[in-house]
Amino acid sequence: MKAIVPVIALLICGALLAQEPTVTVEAKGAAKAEAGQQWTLELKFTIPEGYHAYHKDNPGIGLAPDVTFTNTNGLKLAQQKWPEPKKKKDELGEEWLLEGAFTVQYIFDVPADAEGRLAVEGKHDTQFCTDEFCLMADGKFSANLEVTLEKPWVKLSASFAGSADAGGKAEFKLHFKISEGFHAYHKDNPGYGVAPIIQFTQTAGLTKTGETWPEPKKKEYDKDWVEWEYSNEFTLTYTFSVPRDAKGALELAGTWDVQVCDDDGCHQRTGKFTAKLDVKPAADSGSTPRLDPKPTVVAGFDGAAKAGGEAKLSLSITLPGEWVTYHPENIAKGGTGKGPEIVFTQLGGLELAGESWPEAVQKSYDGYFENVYRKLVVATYTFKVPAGAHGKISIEGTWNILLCDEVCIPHKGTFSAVLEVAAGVDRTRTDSHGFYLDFDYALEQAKLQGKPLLVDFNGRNCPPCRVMEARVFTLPEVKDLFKGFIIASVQNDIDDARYNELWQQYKPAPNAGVPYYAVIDHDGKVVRGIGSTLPADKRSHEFVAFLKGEAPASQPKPEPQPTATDPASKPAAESNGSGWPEGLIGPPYAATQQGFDFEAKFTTSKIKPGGSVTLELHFKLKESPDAGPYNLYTPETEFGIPLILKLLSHKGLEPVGQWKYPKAKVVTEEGVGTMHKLLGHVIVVQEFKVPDNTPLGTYRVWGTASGQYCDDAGCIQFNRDDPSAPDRMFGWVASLEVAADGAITGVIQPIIDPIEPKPETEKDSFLWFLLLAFFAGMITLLTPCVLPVIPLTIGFFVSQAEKGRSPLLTAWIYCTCIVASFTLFGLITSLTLGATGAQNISTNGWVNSFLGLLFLVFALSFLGLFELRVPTFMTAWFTKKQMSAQKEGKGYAKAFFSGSAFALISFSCTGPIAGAFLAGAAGGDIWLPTLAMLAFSTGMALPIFIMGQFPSVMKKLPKSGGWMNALKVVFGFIEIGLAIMYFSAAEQAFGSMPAAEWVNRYVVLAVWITVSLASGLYLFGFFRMPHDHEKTEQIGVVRALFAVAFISFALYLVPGLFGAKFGPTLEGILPLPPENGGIQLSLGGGEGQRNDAKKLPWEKNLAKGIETAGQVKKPIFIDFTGFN
Amino acid sequence: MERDIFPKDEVYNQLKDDFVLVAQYTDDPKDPVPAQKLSEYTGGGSFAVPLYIVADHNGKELARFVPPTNIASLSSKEFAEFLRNAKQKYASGN
Repeated sequence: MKAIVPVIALLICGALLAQEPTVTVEAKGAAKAEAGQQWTLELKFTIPEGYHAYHKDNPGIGLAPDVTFTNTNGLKLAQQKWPEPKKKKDELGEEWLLEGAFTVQYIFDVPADAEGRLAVEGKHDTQFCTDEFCLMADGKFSANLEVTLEKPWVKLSASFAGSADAGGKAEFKLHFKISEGFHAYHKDNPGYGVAPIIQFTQTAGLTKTGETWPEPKKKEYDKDWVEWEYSNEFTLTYTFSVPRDAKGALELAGTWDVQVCDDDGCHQRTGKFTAKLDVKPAADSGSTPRLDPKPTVVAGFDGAAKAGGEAKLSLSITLPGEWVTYHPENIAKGGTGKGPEIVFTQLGGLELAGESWPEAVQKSYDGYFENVYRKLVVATYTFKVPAGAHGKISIEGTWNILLCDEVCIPHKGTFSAVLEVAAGVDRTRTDSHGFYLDFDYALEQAKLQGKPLLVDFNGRNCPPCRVMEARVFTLPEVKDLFKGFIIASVQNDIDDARYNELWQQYKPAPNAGVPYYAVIDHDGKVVRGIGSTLPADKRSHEFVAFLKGEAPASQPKPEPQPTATDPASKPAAESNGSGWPEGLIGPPYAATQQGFDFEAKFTTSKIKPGGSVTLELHFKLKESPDAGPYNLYTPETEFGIPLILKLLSHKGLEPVGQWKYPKAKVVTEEGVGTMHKLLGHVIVVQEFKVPDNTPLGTYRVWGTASGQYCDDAGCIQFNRDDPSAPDRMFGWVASLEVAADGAITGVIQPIIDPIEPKPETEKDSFLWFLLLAFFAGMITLLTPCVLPVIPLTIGFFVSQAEKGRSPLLTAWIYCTCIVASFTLFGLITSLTLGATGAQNISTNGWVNSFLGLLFLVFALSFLGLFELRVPTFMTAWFTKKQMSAQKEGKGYAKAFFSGSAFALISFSCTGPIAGAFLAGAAGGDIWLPTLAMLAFSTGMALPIFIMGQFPSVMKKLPKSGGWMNALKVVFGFIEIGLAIMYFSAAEQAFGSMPAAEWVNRYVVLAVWITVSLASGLYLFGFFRMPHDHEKTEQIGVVRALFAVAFISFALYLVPGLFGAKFGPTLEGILPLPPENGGIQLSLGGGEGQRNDAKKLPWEKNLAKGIETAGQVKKPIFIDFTGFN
Repeated sequence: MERDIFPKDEVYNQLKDDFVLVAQYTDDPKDPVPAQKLSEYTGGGSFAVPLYIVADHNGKELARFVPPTNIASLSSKEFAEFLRNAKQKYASGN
């Protein structure tokens, strides 16, 4: 039976909607109006019973009726008067309501020249709402009026003739029309008639320079009585001078007072006029060049310069009109005019190397010449750029220029320019050991100085190269010998085309490594070369001999000769059955086989679906012939190229966690850095899961490996040694058979340091968390702050659609704003946490206390103690913008502002729920808060977006009512449960204890049981909370189900009070039991229950423990643990 | 571990009677010493806790127990065995 109730409710709701209440608008205005006066149109809105419309200045979100006048026949809307609204405050903010029938007055100015029967037409678009939903009504209205002109009438139109130039003149015309049979008078009228009196009340800086009256009709009434008359039409013309600094539109205003007479008598008619004048800015040259001539000086560098090179500055001097200036050497050449004086006040390290001025024109005077410049002069200054310069260099200076025409006027001013210096082009630069970094320059120097060139081919990421520099190059003997050479350095592992070319040219063997030292003659040919002579204490004499040229040049080592013919596309050595994946180079080619043997395999060859298996990459590092064992580097290494493994294909298998490397040997080499070396038989592993639904068959995984292997003497990279594919790495393949009779697990637990120990379920729980946030966002729509707004919003979309705006775009803008607002909160949280270190969150007592308090406040707010709200000043700006966008008819802009306003205003309901997700996300990944808010707000916005496209869906929304508040109350109870959890965590962190003593597991459980029970009983209607206005007589089915669920959960938790444990999900959230305390009632001695009798005497101070151990002669058992 | 393994009789009795027990909370924001000690024993690098070390009365490491990732798979017998071996090693060293 109960199931029928909501259905009936929906039907009633639907029936109400079907009736389509509407708004009627009647337009009424006075039937007659006088030209030049005002006329009032009254619009009487009738809003149906139970609904209300909104005042035009409504500070809330309701929309005022949108009234548009489609045709006013020249009448101008001057003002509108709205009745006093009913001001209603609720959790959505303040709304100004208008109910029943109300009248809005629109007051129009009737133009002075209007005449006859006129119609004013318009339409309205009116939103009207109940407390729960809103509807839109529209319609047209019109009113007629008869405009009368009282005779005699005078009509005046005032205007400027065209636009004017600043500093020029403007012509202003007053055109009068007067009733037939009447006349006005000329200003110099010798008779009795008075001429029109024109007064300018506002001139905007214009100065009247003259006025012209047309020739009047001279009418002789008697011998001594002549009147100078105008009849019908006449035009007065005024001239104004426009100031030089005037610009834009100037407004001229004034009054007129005209006497018009006929034979029976005279009448005074008065009025006002306004006119606008567009002023064009004055040009420097042109009509008024002499008033204010000024040279303009612009300085700029000709492009970028190189350090150690030259820079050119162009100084352009533009001379106005016919003004001239002189060549700098004019006086020296016999002229009298002084040339420009240019002084650099700031050079930013540049050195002035020269200046040049163009040829001047010789102008002949009586007996002498002046060397003059006209219009444009460009002087060029040359600067030397220091070798060490880089980045931007600013220069500044002053100029002093004499402008002459018939007179001479000195001018001065400043200029500045910025030079871009390309860094690293200093050919003479060297590294810290004095090696030239520019090979070509070094070779030139070698030729110049007649010395041989010694080139150190090394790598930026080559530890032995650095060791050679630190141990061998610093020997006094070697330093001395270096003086006999020009020395240069070439690095083979940096992105430099010239270096790569040189290395290709000079490397002693195709797979040779660095360091390699070569003595090169003036033709660029290698005289002799040598590799590393490490270890230095034993072999530095070899390097000395090499420099002296005494010993025969030894071949650099450990350069293996390539043995494999074509490393690419050769099938794998292991039989993986189906060849080598396309595009993958491998297996490890000869160069790497010198350093290690490689094998990729799974720990088992057959696996059952649903099982787990480990992939092992074996690098069996070899002993170098003469310089110790080879090693690889782990990703943590500060120096050296790490071993990087990439998984390119793993069809049918799911990787679990990350690559795990064995423990590295950490070696710190003075002057080089800390290296994490992998030695011996290195096995890097990756675990995979075989999903249950994986079809049986053979699967292959493949990928690449890159890095560098080194011995004490040198390094060989195995990611760029193949010249045909310099950036490709070597590949590996391993295959696995998924079979029903396979092993269930092939996972081995290697004794290694995981790079980043991560719980296996992290990714799963991450997705669940986001999904939960998404649904919570959807549920938020059902809270009392949000649900009533939805119909209003959809109504807005619909009205926009009727105005021809895309409903898709409107809804999209609106919803994007909601999502953006929330995501911004998440982003701020993410960034704040990122700055402070996310890990602190869960262990910091203050943070936990704060979150606990926050949830308590949220809970109290939801339960109805007070109302949490975003401060009005924050919402006010958005609502104001929204209203003005509405008024200006900018529908999309309104969508933007309403979306943002919606996010803010709905805060009192969404805030606490969103806050819970933010806090929950805070302990996890650094971007989780952002993602959580994204998911949450998408959950909120998506239904709105869908309803925006299909407004009919809206009718399926549940009818608002008491249940909405019930939802809030239940959320309130849940937030109390969350608060107590954070308090417990806070105590634990403050006390540095494994488990909280006061707000312990039992207290948390007790609170949880209470709030669940309370939620259940509340939903069953046992008691009511402050905001529940209606008594629940009957409860719905859904409500009953929730009530049952809450009470069941409470009962489920009860055994926990007596020591029982729960499932892993719940245990993950609940705090550990305290070491003592709690309710130690035994329910039959459950497994794993912490027994008071089994308390162990843990010491927290290791030093004390060692002391005690010495006394009692017992070993120490150290438990390295964590609170979390 | 603390909840599931330590209270088992074969582990609990050994811990109580044969060892001096020291708990080092390596994530205590107020006390950096335990984390330093951990890195002294493990030689730096990252190391997951819990980690159990048995040391002699000079603090020198005698034995180490790294629990498996999935602690549920660990039996208390295995851990008791580890404690027994460590105790013997201490006894033979003195």
